[in-house]
Amino acid sequence: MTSQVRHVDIISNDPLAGEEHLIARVWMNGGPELELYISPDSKADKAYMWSYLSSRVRLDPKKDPKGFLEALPLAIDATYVVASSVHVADDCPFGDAHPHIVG
Amino acid sequence: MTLFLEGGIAVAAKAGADADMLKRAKREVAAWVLACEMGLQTLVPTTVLRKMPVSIDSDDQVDGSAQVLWPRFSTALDKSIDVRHVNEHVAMQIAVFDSLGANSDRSNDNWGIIEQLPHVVLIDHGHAFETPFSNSPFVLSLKDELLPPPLLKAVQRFADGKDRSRLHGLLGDTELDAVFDRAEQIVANKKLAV
Repeated sequence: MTSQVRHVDIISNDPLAGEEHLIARVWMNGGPELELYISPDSKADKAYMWSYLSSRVRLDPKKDPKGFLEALPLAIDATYVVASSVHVADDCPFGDAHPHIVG
Repeated sequence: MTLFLEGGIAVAAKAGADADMLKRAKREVAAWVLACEMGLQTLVPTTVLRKMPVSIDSDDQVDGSAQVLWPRFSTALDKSIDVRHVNEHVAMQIAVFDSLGANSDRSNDNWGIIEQLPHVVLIDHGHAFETPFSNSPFVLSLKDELLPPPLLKAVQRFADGKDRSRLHGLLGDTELDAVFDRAEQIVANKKLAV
């Protein structure tokens, strides 16, 4: 993923600990399909994560990948799990090498 | 050593900044009340209506929901589990709760487990009570099962207590009637209301 590719981070939020963990990342690679990265911190596999994301966004990621990506931030806004806004890697607090931040 | 104290040490606050957000905040509290009146209070963190700042840096106070945060809570998404991993007895309790509350938002990010405790915990009920029936995976997976007698008795007791229910004032009349209609349906059919 290059620094200008727009992506959405799926974040596990622990309000008591004040910690956020990256659990997955979704982006368009220029092709017709969305890419999905699963953090080593996550116990989910890709099939489980796609099933979860599709339960939240009622669009077909294969037919409308851009719409699916852009719908994630509004669709995933729970107490313990949130989706970031669509952003580029240069603006990403998780970066590529440090998928775990404490705030 | 960690002791888990009933009542918790912090709350998740959802301010009723506008009419829609206030309705969702009241539904959060209504879900806690429903759990209590069904005797299922271990399923839902204590949630009350309180005055709170409309946002972190605001002096304006509005009503909102305040829900106790559990330590060592992990969502089903975090643990990569689903309804099939939940004890059948607990899954039926959740199904009855979701069926009564017409929960349309039981995704794997709003239920989970607490490490070292045998409880499953349900959170984020701002979108309960707003549809005729629940599409919760717990309900859909158990909709053909007969309710065990103790749970059926709890639904009957809840249905009989409509006049004194603390749900009055938290839900609109239509939403309130719908909850008790579903309770009557469950009692009549001995199965979940779907």
